[in-house]
Amino acid sequence: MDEGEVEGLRGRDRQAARERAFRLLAATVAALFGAFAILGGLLVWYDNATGMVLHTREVREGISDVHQALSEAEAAHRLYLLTRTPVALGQLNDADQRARRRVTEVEFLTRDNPSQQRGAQALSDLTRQRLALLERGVGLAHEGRGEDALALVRSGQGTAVMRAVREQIAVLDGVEAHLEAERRARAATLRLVGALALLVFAVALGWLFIKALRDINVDREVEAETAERLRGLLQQRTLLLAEVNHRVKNSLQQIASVVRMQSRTTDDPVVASALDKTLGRIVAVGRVHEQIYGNAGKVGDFDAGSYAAGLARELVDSMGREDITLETDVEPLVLDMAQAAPLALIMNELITNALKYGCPPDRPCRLRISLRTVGDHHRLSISDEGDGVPAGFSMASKTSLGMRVVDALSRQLGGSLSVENNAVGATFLVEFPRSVA
Amino acid sequence: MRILIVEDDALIALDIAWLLQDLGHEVCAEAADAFTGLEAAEQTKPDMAVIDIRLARNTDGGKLARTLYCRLGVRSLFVSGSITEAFRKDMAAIEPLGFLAKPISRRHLDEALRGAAA
Repeated sequence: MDEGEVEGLRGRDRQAARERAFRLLAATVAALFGAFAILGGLLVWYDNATGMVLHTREVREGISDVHQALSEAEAAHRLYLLTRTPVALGQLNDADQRARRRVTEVEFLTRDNPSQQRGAQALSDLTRQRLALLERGVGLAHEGRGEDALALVRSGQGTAVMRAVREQIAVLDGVEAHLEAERRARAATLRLVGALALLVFAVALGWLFIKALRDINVDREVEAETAERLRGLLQQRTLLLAEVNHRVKNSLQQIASVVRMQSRTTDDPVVASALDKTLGRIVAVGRVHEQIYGNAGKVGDFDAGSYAAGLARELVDSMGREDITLETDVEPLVLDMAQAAPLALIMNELITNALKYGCPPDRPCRLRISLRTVGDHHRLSISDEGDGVPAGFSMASKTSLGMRVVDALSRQLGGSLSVENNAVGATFLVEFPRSVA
Repeated sequence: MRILIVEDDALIALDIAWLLQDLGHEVCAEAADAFTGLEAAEQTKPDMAVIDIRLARNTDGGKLARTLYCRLGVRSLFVSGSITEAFRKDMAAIEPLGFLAKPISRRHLDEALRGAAA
């Protein structure tokens, strides 16, 4: 499995875990809303059901009160007929009013139930009939016709009406009692349903909570696994880089070794010198590589300034001459890898050239090397104190390999090579633009 | 000085041997891996060793250098394509004569040996 596949797989796992968590969250919120709606509905329904029970009770109390008021009115009526006491009249009046009020209330309360309403109206009529009879009795007594009043009682009209009242009350109350029982049962059922709904709700919520916790855990595990993979890949890459780095330097060493041995075994000094130059070039490239990749911490940056100073010192020292003074004027100049090798080779050629032609062995010389940034250009200049370049010297002639190499590499860097004679010696100047990267 | 070379690449070993002779030293033995390197050192008792870090048969130049130092008191000059800061720190206890990055130049080798002889 290659890197892309591994990363893709991890990415999909994480994506899937996130989507699951999101769906779970959405489901939880929806379930919460649903559960609250259901519980709210149940509560309203239950409230309504208990209201109905209370209503039925009120009707039943009203009916029973009508009966009681009528009985009291009868008792007060009898007392009055027997004693003519005004207290009894007062009692009769109170009971009369109470019976009328209560029967009106019952009529009002039963308006939602047509058959009961009819029953209540009948009860109301009977109540009024009974009260009218009682009033007539009191009226007769009041007029001094006590016998007539007693005759009215004896006629049994009142008793008959009262019997009808009791029957009517029994019917009404029977129906209401049935209704009450029914409504109580409904309220109890609703109570049970509500309790069950709450239980289901609690269980569902608990389940969602546990599932969410588990999902979070899965997410965390996937994340940890991904991090582990990435660490592994990074480690692999670091090892690979170190391996390649090692191989490159070993290969350069092999080439350098062969060239050095060739140089040593040749009898021709011209060939030996050429091979030594090649050796110098190989070593210069090796140094660039060392500077770029040698530091495990930060790969990719190349400080041309310190490289230039180091290389110049090395090349001057390798001449074995005490009378060459080296002056370096360099600033830290970080180049990218693409610019590093060409510039290193240019510096190697120009410094070697200056030491060879610009420092005649018969007198002390000074070599000046400068590497600076001017505006948007880098400028490398190397000045010697030799005899200067010959009058006809031109880059176009490209007679020496070294100059052709420097010219080609300068152009590779997008820059140019120029040379001029000073009062003493010559200055080689390479200017190239700063990296766009 | 009598010097032991332990380097798995034959061409590079040859080049180093030649350079050492040019610089006026004697190569007392050459080896490609840590085992033969240790044997050669025990037989020839060199003054110092030039050691590559990665050796043939998957052996480790650093361990060899440690053994040479502890058993025979022979100090080492490391020549390698992969010298890390961690390796330098690791080897500090056995007083290495230096660390040369490949590709090596004659001048660097000469300087390191002068330091060792001093």
